[in-house]
This record gives sequence, C-alpha cells and structure tokens, in this order.
Amino acid sequence: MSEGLKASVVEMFRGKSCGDKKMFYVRDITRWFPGEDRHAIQNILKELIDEEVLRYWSSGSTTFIMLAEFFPKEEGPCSP
Amino acid sequence: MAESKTPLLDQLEGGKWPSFVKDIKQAAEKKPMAEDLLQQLELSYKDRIGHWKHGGIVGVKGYGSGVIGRYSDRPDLFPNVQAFHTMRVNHPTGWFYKTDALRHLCDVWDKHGSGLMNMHGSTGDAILLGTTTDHIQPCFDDLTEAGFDLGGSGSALRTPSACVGPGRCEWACIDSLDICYNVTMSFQDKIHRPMFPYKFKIKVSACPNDCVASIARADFSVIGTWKGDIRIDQGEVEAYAASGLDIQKEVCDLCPTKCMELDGKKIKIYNKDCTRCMHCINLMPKALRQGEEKGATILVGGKAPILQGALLSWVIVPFMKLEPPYEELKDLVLRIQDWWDEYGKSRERLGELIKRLGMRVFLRAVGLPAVPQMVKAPRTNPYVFFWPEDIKKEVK
Repeated sequence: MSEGLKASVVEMFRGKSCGDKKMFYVRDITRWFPGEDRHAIQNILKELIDEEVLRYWSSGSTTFIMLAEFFPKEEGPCSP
Repeated sequence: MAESKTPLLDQLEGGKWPSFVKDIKQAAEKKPMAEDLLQQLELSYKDRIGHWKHGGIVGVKGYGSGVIGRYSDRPDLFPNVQAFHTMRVNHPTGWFYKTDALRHLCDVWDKHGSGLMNMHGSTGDAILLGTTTDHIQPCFDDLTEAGFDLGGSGSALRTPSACVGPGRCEWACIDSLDICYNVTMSFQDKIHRPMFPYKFKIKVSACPNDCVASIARADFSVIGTWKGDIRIDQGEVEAYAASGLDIQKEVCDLCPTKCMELDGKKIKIYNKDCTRCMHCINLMPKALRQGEEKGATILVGGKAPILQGALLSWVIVPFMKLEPPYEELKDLVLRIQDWWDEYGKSRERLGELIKRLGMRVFLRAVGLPAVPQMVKAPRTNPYVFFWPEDIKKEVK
C-alpha cells in the first residue's frame, strides 16, 4: 500500500472537512482520486479506520466516513 | 383506579393480536430503560413525530456495522433512553436455534441491554433493542463467547438469509442453508466493513415458493428450481380426487399458464408452459414432485420502496447448478457488486442502477448472455434490448 496515497487521503479529508460537511460517502471519497484504483482507496480507508484516524458514521441504513476528530461527542452515558 | 400514563399506547393492546406494548410494559417492570421507552413512545404518538435522533456510533472494534446508534431527542424527559442503540445479531441460517442458545442470547441482553428483542428483523437478524454506548463492546464480547456474531447494517452486505430449506422442507431444490452459510462466511469483510454505495441483500429460497420473499426483498436472489418434467404419481392423483379435492377447479383452473388438464382421473402437464409457480405441487404433494435435475434461478434488483419505488428481482441466470463450494455463484456476486460499486451513485440500489443504465449494459459488464427467460416481470414481455452490432449480425 502506498504511504503517499494514504497521506493524500488524509490530506484530502482535512481539506474537504474545512466547511460544514464532515461526513462523506465512500463513493464520494473514491471520486476524489479519479486516477487511482477504487479498491486501493477502499483498502486505505479500512486501514485508516483501523488506525482510528477515520471513523465510520452510520444512520443505520447508510454509512459515511469522517475524520475521527470530528466524530460527534456523546452526552453523558447512563446504565440500562 | 389510577389514570394510565400511556392512554394512546393502551389502545394498541385492545386489538386481536399480541401487542408489543404489552411486551414493553412487561419489560418495564424490571428495566427503567423500557419504562422510559414506553413514555417516549407515548409522547411520539401524542406529538405525531418520532423522538429518536438517528445515527452515530456504528460498531465494535474492527466492525463498521452491526450496531445502530439511536439517541432520544428528549433526554431531559427520558434519561434512561438517552442512548438506545440497536444491535443486529447474525441469526443462525434458517433460524434454527437450540433452546440453550436462545436462553444464552436472552441472558446476554438482560445483562447489557433493555431486554427487548425483535425476533427477527426483516433482514433476518435477531434485533436487540436498546443499549448504551459503554455496553456495546462488552455485549459483543459476551455474544462472541456464546457463538454469535453481529450482522450487517449501513452501506454493507446485509446478513444473508435463507429459508429452512432441506432442514424441514420436502420441496427444497437446493441446500439453501449451506449456500447461505457459505456465502456469509465467504463475505465476512463485506458484512462488517461497509464500503458499498448502499445496502446489498442476498437471500436464498430453496424452491419457487420463495418463503424468504427473496424476489421482493433481495438485490441478489437465489431461488431453487428444477429442470425436466414434473413427476406425476397418477395413483396418488386418484387418491386426492377420492378424498374430495376438486382437481379441475382447485388445481388445473388455478394454474396461471393453464399448462395442465385433467383427463378422466389422470392429470397431464404440458411442462414447456409451466412457470414453476408451485401451486399444483403445493396442493398435491404426494402426487406431484419437481423434476429430477435441481438447481437455482438467479435474480437481481429486488428492493422495497425507499428512494425509488419497489422493484421485483429480474431473472439473469435461469438455471445454475449449485454445489459446494458455490464458486460460480460467489464469482457472479463479486462481479455484480464490483460493477454496482463502480457505477452506482450513493444510496442507489442495484435494481435502480440497472434501471438507470439499462439491462444490456449490466449484462455485458458482468459477462452474461441475454436469454429469453429474462423477463421484466412474471409472464410479461422480454425487456432485453440488443446492441446495434447484434442486430446487424442478425440482419446479415
């Protein structure tokens, strides 16, 4: 896996997350890199998620990916 | 008598069928979480609006699906359902549980969640309703120890499901249980690590009765079928007639393609016209049996109405012999998913993509030939439009 490409993915995330939009579809992310193999980008995303640089966010039906630092903070937990 | 705190929900208990309200009330006797759930639901009925905030937390370490984040938008009123996440547990194929496994599942959920379960969700999973964020990982650990895994959610391959098939059913043409298990184990990464444009569902029915409704609910449907003539035991046909079954009225006249007739006491089937609706076989199981060569029809594109309208699956492979390790089937799944992943828009299901780009584009991409059995809907016109070069070839 190209470390350079991995760094570019993170850099692109930072650039795209400057505005209000913080969450992106996988499809959008692969389109940021039109010349690259879609599967390679997906593998990089999985690795970055494992490294907790990125995080999944899901509504239950659809999944988005975002920078971990922007993942919404929860209010205080409570027990069942 | 004290006034009820949930007058609107109480009305739902008055019907003919068992009510989920009764179940939640029962759980509320032990769990404050269930009590708050009841109160919030009452408020939703009163306000005519849902009080859940959707989304957020998605899983345990290494997983991107299986946990669905839910938060109350009125934690001030209902602090015990401030977080009320759902966990989807991959059901045993065909929903065959041993009682000790079910008890174990219940114990785990009593320990970590509200105790409320939905057996089962429409995808097939066991749905565990209501836990807090701090309980997700310990609950998963306990589930794993009990032999369970999480199912799919979000933009992932959803938990494949299958009918009971040869486990209990004499009409099974394929081993739906083994196929479903094999597919589930082969595509673990696609279930747990969402990378698709949207959800993708695989369902396996062992015969055309399609007990898991795969034709209506799955992007990729596998439906057992047969080749050759329906086998007839004329002696048993006579026995059915003698027992009072009006074969002409209840079997022949209701055949959708009128492919059978009663000749005196004997039944005759014009097999070329049979669309394998299973009606006659269902009615006279002792007299009629499917043809000897068994396999499956593969269909794609079924879905319920969310973004666009509902679609029924379309036949793409009329007959595929299915034997372990099902490489031909899995290879086809991968080719289809890859095409959809490449060209699908975000939140576009496979059926919608085929509708947008055309079936002939899809067939060429996945390397399948156009055949007459590919029909848009049962018993209607062929939908395949040929490529200009194909038409030229025919004209020559």
